[in-house]
Amino acid sequence: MKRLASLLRVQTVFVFSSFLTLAVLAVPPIKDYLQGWKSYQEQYNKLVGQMLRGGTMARPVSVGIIQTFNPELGVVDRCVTCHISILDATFRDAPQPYRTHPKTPHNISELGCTICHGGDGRATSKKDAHVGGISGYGLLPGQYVAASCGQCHAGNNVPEAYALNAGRQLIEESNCVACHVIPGFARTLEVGRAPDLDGIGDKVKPQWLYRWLKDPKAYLPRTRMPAFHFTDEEASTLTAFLLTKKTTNPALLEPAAGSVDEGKTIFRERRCVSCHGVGGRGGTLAPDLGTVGSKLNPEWLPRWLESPREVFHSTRMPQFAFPRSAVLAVSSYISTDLVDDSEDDAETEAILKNLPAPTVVTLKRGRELFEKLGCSRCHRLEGAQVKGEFGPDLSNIGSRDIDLLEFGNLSIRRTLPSWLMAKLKNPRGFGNNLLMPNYQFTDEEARSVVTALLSITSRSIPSRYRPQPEVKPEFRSAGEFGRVASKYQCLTCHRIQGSGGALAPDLTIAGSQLKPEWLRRYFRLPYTVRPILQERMPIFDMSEKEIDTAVTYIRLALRDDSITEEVFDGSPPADLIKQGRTLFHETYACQNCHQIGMTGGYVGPPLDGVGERLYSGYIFSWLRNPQAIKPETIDPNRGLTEGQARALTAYLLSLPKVSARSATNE
Amino acid sequence: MYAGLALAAMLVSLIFQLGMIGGRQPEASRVESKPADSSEAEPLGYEQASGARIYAHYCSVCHGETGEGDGFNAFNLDPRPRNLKDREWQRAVTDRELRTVVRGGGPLIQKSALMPAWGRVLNDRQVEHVLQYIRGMEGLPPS
Repeated sequence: MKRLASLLRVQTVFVFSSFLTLAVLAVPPIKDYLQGWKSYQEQYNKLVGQMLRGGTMARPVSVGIIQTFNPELGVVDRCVTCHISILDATFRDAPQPYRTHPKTPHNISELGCTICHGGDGRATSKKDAHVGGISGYGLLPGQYVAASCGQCHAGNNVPEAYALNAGRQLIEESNCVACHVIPGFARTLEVGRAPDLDGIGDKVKPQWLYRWLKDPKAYLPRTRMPAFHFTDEEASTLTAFLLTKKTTNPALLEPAAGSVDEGKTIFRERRCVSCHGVGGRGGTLAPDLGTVGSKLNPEWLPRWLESPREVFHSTRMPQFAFPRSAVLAVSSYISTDLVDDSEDDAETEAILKNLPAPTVVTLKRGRELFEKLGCSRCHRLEGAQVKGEFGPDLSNIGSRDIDLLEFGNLSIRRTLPSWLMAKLKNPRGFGNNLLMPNYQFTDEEARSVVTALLSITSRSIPSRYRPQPEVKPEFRSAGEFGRVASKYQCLTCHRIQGSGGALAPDLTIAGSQLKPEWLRRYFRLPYTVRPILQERMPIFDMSEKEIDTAVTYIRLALRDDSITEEVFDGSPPADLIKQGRTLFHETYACQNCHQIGMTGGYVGPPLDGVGERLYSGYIFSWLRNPQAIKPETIDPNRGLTEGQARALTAYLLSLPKVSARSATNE
Repeated sequence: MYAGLALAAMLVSLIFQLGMIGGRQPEASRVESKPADSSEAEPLGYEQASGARIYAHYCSVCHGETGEGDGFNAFNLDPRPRNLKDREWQRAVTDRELRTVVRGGGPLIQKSALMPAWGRVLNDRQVEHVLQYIRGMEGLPPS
């Protein structure tokens, strides 16, 4: 009896365990059958079946893994297994994952998907592909997709990668390489971007310096100097330290004694506001002068106005030919009128009272602060030690492992882009004793910098895929013209052959564009070609010899051989002019942007007497293809035939010339 | 006893395998679907953002920064530039017409020649992007 019972028990166990074994062994095949991607493909086939009834080019697929394979780039992307129809335009309004991919500059079938979008290409389930796992990161958030362009494209002029370009530009302007090694950026950008601090003790008032150190953007919202969040004590010490940096040359200081009214008139006539806005109105190329009288020591101004480059040798301010009396008058005006009326006098007194005396201890502490925070990486100061890059190396920051990042106490998403955003918006937020100052980026600026940083990945791109970087040699003028250009700092506002500022027209082919007589008159008295613009070329009072040098150089060197000077021998025939008039006013309605007489739009320059200013050959070439001469112009390319362009040129040349403009016309 | 242990082991492995049918659940979430770090509105998609820049550079002088036909040059023009946020017009105009007028100018759809032809300045992709942006204009906030 007992033996039967035990036998039965064994049999039960045996049966049970057999079923269990079968079950265990059945699980892998079931798992394989229920793969997510198979259901996507079957759904797609159903969708196509529906669409076929409505007539489409899409065809069902045989169910199986589809992949893009590019061994050179190490791309094995199986995304197309679920995203089957991304190249099929008829799926524009379909639900994901079937929706058509927007048009892109690149061939998706060649490059695959993960190069631009991140994610794990080899995965075969949605979660693994999108979220990532062992073999890499998840998808790059859509707003940062321009970062991927930067893996192959260098420079900050990558077509259609706006955020990337803006970010790279910001990194350059903010001089991040002062503290961080960043691949793709020169190790040391020119020191001289920020003012030299030798002589600062003579230049600024103590209370201004204190306030500036505490919060630079409060004085100058567009400054690139970050906020260091000094304590009161630190700011006072640093101020006291810097104030001892005085110049040893007494001739650099003199009292500003002159007529304030005269100074005001000269200030206005000389169009200082073209570069220096006042109270936010005017140019933005140079610091706003609205409250500069509260900043500067009045005795420092006259020398500066007289010859800026002697005071700060790498300034971009041009040399004006002010007579002594003018210099003193303008200095008086600035020191008296352009002050901050809302300055809190009680606060100023408190600041001055709390300034420590320049004892050895204070100076030592000040120097320590100066060196510890790396001030010398942007500001030159004699005697201060310049440390090497002391911030974290940002090589491969775009591929940085999340587990190596310190999130501190912040509750943000555990992703690399989030971390970078948080860091840029609040650099010391992750912990104590961090040194990075706050650049006070707006959200959009921060996003663009994050985009630029995310482009620095560890992916190795074969050189075949890297476009040739455009090598732009810097335009250096030498000799007599070089002296003139250096004195008047032409390249601060104008660009020549790729170097210079973007405030004023590009002069690269000015010799083929502008007639020398007009140019000469213009140098003597610059007037405004486009009334709608705020900025004006300042009046430099150039000597005749200097004007001659400049005009000759422009006429001889800054030319484009594909542009002839004159299109007509003598005056053009009357019927051609008539044809041109029709084309101008009726066919192409050019007056919608250009004024003639008193009618027309003011998008482009007025065309009265344009034949006096421009060579007819230039007008002709411009009309045939404006973008070839100025790529960003919004004058549309009409596809004019040669005959039409000649007719229009003839008409424009016939427009009445304007006699010498008086000052009131501006 | 050993049979019992083996049974238990199999049961446990079965449970694990069943649990994994749904796929691994990795904890580190590396994907952000929305910008979590700013309180601003969701940024425009790729096509619309690109279109926005093209629009701002080429179109806004006449059609206005928000598309209402009030650009700074608009008041010199007769007829005035189209208000692109006009709902009725948006319903009535087809994508093909939009593409034609952007590429070929006003006369190609029997409108004023004051609207220039941009077909030689913008490539197909740029025209597409600015089209997407214009289509999305109804939803943009008023100036």
